[in-house]
Amino acid sequence: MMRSWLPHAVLVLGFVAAGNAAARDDEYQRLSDRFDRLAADPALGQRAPAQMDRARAALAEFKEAGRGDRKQLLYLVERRIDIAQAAAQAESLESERADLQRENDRLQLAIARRDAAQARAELERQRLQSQIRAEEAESARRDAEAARAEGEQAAQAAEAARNEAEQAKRMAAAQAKATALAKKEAELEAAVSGNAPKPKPAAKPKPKAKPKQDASGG
Amino acid sequence: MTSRSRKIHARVAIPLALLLLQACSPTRPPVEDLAAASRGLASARSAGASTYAAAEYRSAGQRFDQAQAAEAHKDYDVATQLARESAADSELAIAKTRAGKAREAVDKLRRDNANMDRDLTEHASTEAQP
Repeated sequence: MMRSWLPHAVLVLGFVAAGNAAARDDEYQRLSDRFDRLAADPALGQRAPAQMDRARAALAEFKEAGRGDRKQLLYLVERRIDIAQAAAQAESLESERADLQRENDRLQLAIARRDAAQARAELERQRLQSQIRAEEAESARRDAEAARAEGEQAAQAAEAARNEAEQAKRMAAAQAKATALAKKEAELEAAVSGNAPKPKPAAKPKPKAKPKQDASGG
Repeated sequence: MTSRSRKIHARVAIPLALLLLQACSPTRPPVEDLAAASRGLASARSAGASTYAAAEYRSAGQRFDQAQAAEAHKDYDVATQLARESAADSELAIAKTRAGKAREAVDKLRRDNANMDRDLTEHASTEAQP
């Protein structure tokens, strides 16, 4: 009796064991494929070598482990591959960041040079404007100086003319006075000599007669 | 059962029993694994994993709590396994945080460079105009 069911039991156990082994191999194959895809990735495969090595080692351990150990290792192997992938992505992004930072430095330098050139041009423009203004101011100053000198000269001439006129006026007054005195003297002389002429009313002062040449006898 | 077969059974049964006893006996507390998990969690926290890798960071914390609870119940195998999983979660959280920060920096630099490039181009075209 016992001999009759024993082969069947062994057969069933064999199938179950084979099924479990196949399932384990499927799990391993899935993880291995995932890791291989990561390792073959042109952008990530060569990055994070330490994490890739640890994932590879975890995968090999998983392959060699027994059923009980595999259950415990599965999560850790998945995580090891996740970590390798994330580390490779981080490294790739950091490399890209370094490239972009270099480009950023280059652009900042270009902008700084442009701004410096603009500042120099603006400075030169202001310098020229300042020079033009200074020249204009100097020209105006010279004009004003000339005008002032001219004005002074005119004032001096006017003063001289005024002085001359004053002098002429004084001379005329003196002449008139001398004429009057001479006339008075003549009258007085005549009065003293008895032929005092009848005093005439004061005649209007006549303009000084021009002496005649023939009257002087000379 | 003959005396010979009894001897054979004894030779097989005794080592098997010893093996079973050893397998069922409690392992040592996973002090090192728990300490490593705790360090990993602290590193992930200080790296900013709660912002950049929230799910992984949360998972690491939960597994660490479960590991501590298992240790308290003297379930050291489970505590060891959970502590190792927590450490792996923390390590993943740190790697994702590093990637997230680098991605942010890359995006910002791309925007800045595009703006500066446009500024330079526009200025050059303005200068070129009569």
